[in-house]
Amino acid sequence: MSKCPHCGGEIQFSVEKQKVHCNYCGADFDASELVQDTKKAKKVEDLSQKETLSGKSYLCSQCGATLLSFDETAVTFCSYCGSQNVLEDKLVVQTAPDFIIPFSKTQEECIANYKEAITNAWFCPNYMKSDLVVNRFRGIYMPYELYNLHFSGDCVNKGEKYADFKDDFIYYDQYDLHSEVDSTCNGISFDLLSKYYDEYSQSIPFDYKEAKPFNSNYLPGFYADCKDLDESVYDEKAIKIAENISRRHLMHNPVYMNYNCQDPKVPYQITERKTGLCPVYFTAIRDKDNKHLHYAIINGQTGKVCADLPVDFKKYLLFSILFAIPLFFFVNSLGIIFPSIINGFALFAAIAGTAIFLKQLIKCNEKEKRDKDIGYYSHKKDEKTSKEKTEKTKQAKGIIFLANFGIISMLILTGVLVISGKAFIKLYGLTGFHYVASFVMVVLLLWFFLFNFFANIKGRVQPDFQIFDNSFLVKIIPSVIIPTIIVILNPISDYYYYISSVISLSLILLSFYDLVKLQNKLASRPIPQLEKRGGDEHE
Amino acid sequence: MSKKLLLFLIMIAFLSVSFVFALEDNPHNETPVNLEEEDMLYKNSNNSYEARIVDHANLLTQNEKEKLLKEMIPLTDYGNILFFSTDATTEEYYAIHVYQSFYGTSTGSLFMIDAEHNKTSIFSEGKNKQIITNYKVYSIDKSLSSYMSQKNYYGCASHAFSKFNTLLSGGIVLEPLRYASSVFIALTLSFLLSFLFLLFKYKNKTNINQEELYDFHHTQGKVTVNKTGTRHDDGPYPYNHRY
Repeated sequence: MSKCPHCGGEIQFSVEKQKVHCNYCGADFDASELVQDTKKAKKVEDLSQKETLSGKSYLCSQCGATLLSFDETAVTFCSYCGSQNVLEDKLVVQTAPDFIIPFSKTQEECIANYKEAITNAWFCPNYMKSDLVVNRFRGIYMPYELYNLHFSGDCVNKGEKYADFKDDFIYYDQYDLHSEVDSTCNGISFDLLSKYYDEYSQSIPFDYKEAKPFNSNYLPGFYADCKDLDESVYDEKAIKIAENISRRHLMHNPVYMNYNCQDPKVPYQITERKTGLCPVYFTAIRDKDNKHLHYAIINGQTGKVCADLPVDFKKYLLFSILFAIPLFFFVNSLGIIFPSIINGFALFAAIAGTAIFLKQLIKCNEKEKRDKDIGYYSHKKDEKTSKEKTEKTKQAKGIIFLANFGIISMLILTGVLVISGKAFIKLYGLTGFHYVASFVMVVLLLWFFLFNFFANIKGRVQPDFQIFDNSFLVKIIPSVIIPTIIVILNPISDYYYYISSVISLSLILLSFYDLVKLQNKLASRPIPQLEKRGGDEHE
Repeated sequence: MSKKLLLFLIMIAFLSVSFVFALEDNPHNETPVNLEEEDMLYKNSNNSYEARIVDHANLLTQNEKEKLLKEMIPLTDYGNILFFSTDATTEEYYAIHVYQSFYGTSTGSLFMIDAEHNKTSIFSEGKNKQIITNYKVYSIDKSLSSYMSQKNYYGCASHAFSKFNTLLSGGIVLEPLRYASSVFIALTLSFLLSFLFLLFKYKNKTNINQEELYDFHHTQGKVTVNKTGTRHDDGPYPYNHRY
């Protein structure tokens, strides 16, 4: 680490001035000039000698995360789990990365952006923008990898066209579609930390045009994390991203559509991989029950905020009640509030609530297992785990398909009933057709619920994945079954419809508490329990 | 536009179109109505609207007819008012046909008792139709069921016309169950829409396939096509294949 060439004091990078500043004599220096001067002072003959990255590492005794500090500032709490049990570990010296993007937004600017984001999230609890939370933001350099990809040459894709129909066979002619392509995709980046969620790093992209050659003078005043992933982990994904972008360009040419080539690709090659450090302001906020965390990350270059935003149920309740007032007048003015319509609406709302809950539950499960986090799984290096992961992902997708199929079937059936002209307006005038349709509707519903219920019991989905939360189950199933029974029985007295609707809608309203609870679970992370990295850190 | 959003819009359009088709059309029937037979008639001298009682089914006594006519007279301030009873088998939408046979499309209301099926019908035309809406008709109809079950036809008609008078004179017919249901529906819709809004607002927008994020350059020449071979699939009737 460089010292002040004037007074030999400790220097820090000043974000406001974008220069290295000496706290003792107040001098400012350009970071790159300081490196040259320092090397000259040391009489280093080869000025292109690669720098090293050295700092004091601090180890969190709770989650095992390490943080590098480059000045005398001690680390008093862990950024990843919020624990205050952080111990000074050892001096770490690493090969320096290729580039660095220095902080260009001050902590105050980023915190202001964060507070604005919290304010815009209407249902977010106020403690998320309290001083206790915002004072814990820490500027950390995260290790990233930057990919440059290129392809130049003859790009060949397969296509086919209908040719003939003969002897009960359909014949297709197959073609190779050749095109001279020169395509470059630079700047695809991924974080090289297994514990850093991929969705965060993808939510706050950096502008790599402002990247500078690595210079350790940008580090004092901030912290850094060490990479723990192999540099080739994201190769496939980088190529896939480039292919997705290039596909849109290839498809501009109608020849590909004419020859049924739905998925043309450019076979990119990775021309360059660079590792670097990118600036983020990072904090972890513990939940009230102390079992989960909310992360908030701010891009130190652009100021973009990415945060787990929980929902304050009281705010949500108040907003919903106020919003219900104009809706009440609107509903009243429609003039179609017949008892049968209310009953049908209760049924529809119950199905909609169930579909939302199921989708959220699956998302929650995927998030907790980190199925789509390539870095996390590659770090585990466990073949069985990766096979399990693929299997679980397929099952989760299967359940999503069933949930969608159930709700779509319901909507189609409802549409069929309405077309016949007797459902929404005059359900009491049911014909035989409607009894059959209602019966099929009930069978579909029961199948939808029972399949998932038995799937859970037989462990066809992973054993610890509960498809239905019990409290939600207790509320939503009666709210579906009761109106459906009334539709089929078609009682003469309207009071049956009113009673059924009131019971069903009351249960649905209560079930929204479970939905919000689940949304909060989705917006939080389990407290990391990371493996301690041991061994020689010298590279 | 994403596929999911497109599918959602198609379904909403489908349901909306279905709803429109579900609305009932006016009937076409040719059952004649005897316009000559009228039991009681009153003509309002100010606006020439009429109050008429046509009791084909002989459900009312003379005394009851006179009393009923007196109750119908104030309604002529707003339009024609017709009481009609029948004991013949009637097809659907007969009430519309009856009213239009007497008064065409002139403003007014009809209250009909079908003694054969023991049911009542209410029909309005013109300005009255905007006040005595479908739901009001349904609500009034439901309140007459006890009279009909007791075969108290005068009481039934009197109650109906009393409701007409309340509505046409600007009064409110209390429907507590309906308002309570509206509250529940509004709350449920509100909770549902608020939650959907929450999901939309809270989504961390990531799109790693966005071209703007990267330094992307692409040039492409003309596409040339070379045939490489042929393949075949089973046709629509695979069981007809000759082996």
